[in-house]
Amino acid sequence: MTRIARRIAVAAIATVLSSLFMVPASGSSSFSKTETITRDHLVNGADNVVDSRTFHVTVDQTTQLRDRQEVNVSWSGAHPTGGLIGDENSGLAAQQEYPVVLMECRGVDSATVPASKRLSPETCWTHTPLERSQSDQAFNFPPYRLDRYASPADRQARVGVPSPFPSDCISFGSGIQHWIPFVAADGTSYAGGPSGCAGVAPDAVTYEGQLQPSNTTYAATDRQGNGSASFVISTSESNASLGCSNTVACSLVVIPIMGISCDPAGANLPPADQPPQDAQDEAMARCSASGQYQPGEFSPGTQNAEDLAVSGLLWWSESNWQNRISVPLTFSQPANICNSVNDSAPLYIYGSELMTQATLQWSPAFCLDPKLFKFTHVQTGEPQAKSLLQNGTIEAAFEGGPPPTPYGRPVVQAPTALTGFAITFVIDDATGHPMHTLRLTPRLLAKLLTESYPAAPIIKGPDAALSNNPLNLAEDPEFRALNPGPPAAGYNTEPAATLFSLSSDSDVIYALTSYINADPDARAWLNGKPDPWGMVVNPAYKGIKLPVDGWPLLDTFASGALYSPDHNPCLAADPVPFLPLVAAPVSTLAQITLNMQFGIANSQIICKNPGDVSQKLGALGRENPGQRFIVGLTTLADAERYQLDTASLLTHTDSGAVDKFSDATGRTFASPTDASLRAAAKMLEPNGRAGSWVLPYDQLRTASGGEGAYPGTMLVSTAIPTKGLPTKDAQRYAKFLRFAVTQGQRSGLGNGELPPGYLPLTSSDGMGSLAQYTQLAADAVEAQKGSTVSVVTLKTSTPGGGSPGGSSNPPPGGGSTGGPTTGSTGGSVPPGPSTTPNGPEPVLVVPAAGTTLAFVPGLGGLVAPSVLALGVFFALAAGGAWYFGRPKVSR
Amino acid sequence: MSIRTPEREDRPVSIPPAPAEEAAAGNAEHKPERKKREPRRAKRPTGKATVIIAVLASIAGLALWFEFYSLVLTPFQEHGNQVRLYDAFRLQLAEATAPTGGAIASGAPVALIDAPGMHDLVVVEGTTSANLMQGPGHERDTPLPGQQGTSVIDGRSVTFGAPFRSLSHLAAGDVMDVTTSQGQFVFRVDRVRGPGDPAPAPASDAAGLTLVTAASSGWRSGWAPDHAMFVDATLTGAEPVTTPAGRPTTIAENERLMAGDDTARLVGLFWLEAIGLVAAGILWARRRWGPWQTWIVGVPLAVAVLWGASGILSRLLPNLI
Repeated sequence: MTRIARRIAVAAIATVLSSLFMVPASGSSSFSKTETITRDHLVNGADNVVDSRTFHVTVDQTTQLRDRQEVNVSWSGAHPTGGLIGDENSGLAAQQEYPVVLMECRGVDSATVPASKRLSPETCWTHTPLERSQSDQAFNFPPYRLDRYASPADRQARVGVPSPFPSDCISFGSGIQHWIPFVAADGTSYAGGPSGCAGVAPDAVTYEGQLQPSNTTYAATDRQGNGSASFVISTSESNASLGCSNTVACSLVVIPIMGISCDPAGANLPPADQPPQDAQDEAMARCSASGQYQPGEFSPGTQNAEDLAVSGLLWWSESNWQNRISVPLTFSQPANICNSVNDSAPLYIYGSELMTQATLQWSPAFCLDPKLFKFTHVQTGEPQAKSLLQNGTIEAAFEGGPPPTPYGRPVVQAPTALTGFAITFVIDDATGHPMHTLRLTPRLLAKLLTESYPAAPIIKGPDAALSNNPLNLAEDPEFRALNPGPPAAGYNTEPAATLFSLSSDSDVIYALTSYINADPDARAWLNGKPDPWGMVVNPAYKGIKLPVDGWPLLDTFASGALYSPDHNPCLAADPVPFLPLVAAPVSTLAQITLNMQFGIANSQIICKNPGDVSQKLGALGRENPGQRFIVGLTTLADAERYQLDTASLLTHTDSGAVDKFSDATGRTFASPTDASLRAAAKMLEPNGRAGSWVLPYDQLRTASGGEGAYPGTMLVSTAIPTKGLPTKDAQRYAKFLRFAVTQGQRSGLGNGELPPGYLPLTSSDGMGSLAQYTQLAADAVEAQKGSTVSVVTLKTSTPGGGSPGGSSNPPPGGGSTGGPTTGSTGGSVPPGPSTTPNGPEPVLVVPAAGTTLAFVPGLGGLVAPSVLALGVFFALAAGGAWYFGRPKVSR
Repeated sequence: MSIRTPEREDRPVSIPPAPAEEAAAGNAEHKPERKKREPRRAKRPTGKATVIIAVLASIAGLALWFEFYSLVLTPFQEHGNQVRLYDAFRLQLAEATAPTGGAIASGAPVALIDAPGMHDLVVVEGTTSANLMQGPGHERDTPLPGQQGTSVIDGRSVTFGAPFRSLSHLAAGDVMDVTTSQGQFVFRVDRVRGPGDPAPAPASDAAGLTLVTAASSGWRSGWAPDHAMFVDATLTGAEPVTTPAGRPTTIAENERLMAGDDTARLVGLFWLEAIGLVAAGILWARRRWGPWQTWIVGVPLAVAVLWGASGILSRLLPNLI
């Protein structure tokens, strides 16, 4: 990556897209190519051209790619696709007729590089065994043996079958076999075979749904020959078997399937491979077949109903493979580069997932600079991190807001990034195309969170409390008034009835519920007032006190019909309330992001292996394109990184706006943009008691300028004690803070820069005082004298007496032995499967840097001895006084 | 200790009307120490000496009473509470109504600990000084034992039955059984640690249990602790259950380790007034009714107010003692 290239990229962003927030990483590295593709049989020594097309493809970005980034591929001039399958990334989709196959292959197409760096079908990634193995026990000349462009070796009866024959494959092994092994980045060759009997790469699966969806795409072309798809890039971080990285070149290979060009005679083949005369007609009929389906016709889902000769399954056959267009890709530095850089003990900062994208870009700037150090962001819920910091277990925490009761120790909460949460969605409109804008009100969010949509007819009927409510968000007239476009039906209804959210405590939930609570309409509805269309709150949530750190699942309604074995054996065996299963929150925002990127519905309502002892409820799974409806809660930076669509949130209602509205008139919605974050940043108020800046949610609606402020805005601060840290750590934390508000606030996608989704903390964005505070806080952290910095006056005060908050807790024990107790970085990438098949970024589990605090009881510990001494002393004194003070005349 | 000051001020006020009776009032109040000084009238000191003796004896009596209360009487109080809590928790477990998470009322029973030296201790929710008078207390911002994350339970080591006195005898490898509404969990002790020892990483997926009490060594051992000690244990033999949402995320100042409960101050003031009233009443009654009648009525009253005041005073002291 050259400096010039980066400058060009930045300049392009700045000039072309300066006013937009949601920008793809770069607009300057697109790719396009045109070629002629034909299908021509060789009949009796003569060419018989049956189809010829001019295929044109464009890819919007090919450089500086990061793991799980999506690039958009569009084309024209391809053969229209038939036998459509909903999920283009599934193995089943390979059975479509005339798809355009997009795959990521290791290597490049160039005569100038050594053979080991060239791509071939053996270095192209597929997820399931069927995509790279064919066999036929009944007929000896399936279409791939008639491919006129294939080499004689590839037209033999058994190709790619290892010798000796793998014992696990015996039951599949007879007849014609054609296997394409996969050669992994480390050189290991996996033969594959039917059902993967001869072994598949660690990142591949033998059945679908084991891991995150494949990126191999069998995309459909419309009747005019045009099509488009978004392709998810995998680097070695999420697919170590394929192993693409900034040092290992890879390509995106686009194969427009035209069908096999047949050569039934096989004149140049050894006699054993030539079809005998009596089989030639059938072989030619199979090979020259042009499809069972009309263009655009959906497959009924049955296996092997397609014409193999034109299906995506034969992408590797030379007739198709030679039509490929390969697009060289380059990748940016991997985010996990620090794991392998050096073994020095890192500096740990625990806390908020809101910071994940920023720390991914910041940490290489630290670990690659020999003068600096390595720091590791351990993602935990913010409330947990704050509690651990309070207890002295950890040394620093990213928090999304101040703790509810001030820290009992001298701690600075230094503003580090302005970002927020996003309500992301995957919704297809009535024409089956994804929607890109969505308007949501706090009341709609409250409806989704409170399990107030009955979600399924089997609940809506029997549950009297919810029987008059719309089935799900799509049917809600309030939603439909604001969002024309999506059809009211045709979705999986359960995922559309909930907000895919967090099960753990988080400052994001606190911010979201603060926003809901500050809206009078939402609050009144939560208190029991029906909305203008008559929908009521689930009684389990009526009057719920907000805001909260963690969202409780309270619905307990149990319907008899639901638990009958005919309906769902899993629920019958273990009758649990249904709506919490629909909500199915997860413990990390990263997991929600992953599901939103791939359109996976998490509602745990499908009975897997019904009737078996291993039966259990599982997720609904990936929704079919064209019929998707999922709304989820993610961080703003994740939404930007993975190009998820984000909803606009209600900020202002005109006084004259009607209650029972039929469109958005009189209501203002703010989407997350630089401008709306800036407007929200202007409203941040310093709160001296909390020691931080907070967003006044009730004023968002009323204050001037509030209507343009994005309500999901959150200020992330780094909380660090100013007393008791080991000197070395204190200096490092101070360096980190200074970096975070200077170099770390420059926007960009390079190391040490601030990725999209964060608004720089600069005076031009109206946050000069926040940055100034962090500089002062860095000094206080470095000094470790117990001083604090006032957010109101921006003055440092060193304690004369008592720490703020009046705590009796002592500072951490004076032992200067601090620092991590074990030096393991926990980050070396093991061979075999990638470290994160399911999660986007690894959540590192590492030893904390803390030592046990002393917690001295002070004088209280001496109560028993001192009171006893006091009693005995005074008793003796009283006795003595009595003895010496009595009258001496008594005798 | 703050009791002493008002007490001293009380005396001079009540003395002038009946200097002769003062010592007797002192006697009535501190009956366990001196019982039968009344009849020896002939040897009684007189004048200023009486006042001095009375003041000294009162202070001594109060101090010795508090010592007696803390070390001898509070275990009975705690035992009574434990019996009551055990019955309540047993019923809740049987009915499956015991709390599993979320916001739990302070003082509600949440778990049962069975470990070497600790037999069927009922753990209550909350860690204020008052909570810990009933038995070990569960820190409200941590998950319940057996759930994902590290659960923290505090207990006293000196007063109120000293449920965690034997914590220092635990060693790595010891097994503790903890019963909650979600089942029985077996924890194995990892380490016993004190100030300056490395703290373990916060558990996220695993279930941990940390028991905390006050400890000391040498002559202070057992009755004058000077630091907190921790016993870390990890769930064995079972998968942790998931942690329900809605737990409090921070705890109040008076629930933290070694914190006293400052909110008891105001209540303590009323108890001191009650002591003053009872003392005055005894003086008055002795003159009107005679010594024996006053004895019969006065002793229970005096013990009651002293007990109450001592309980409040204990709440001001560090919660782990």
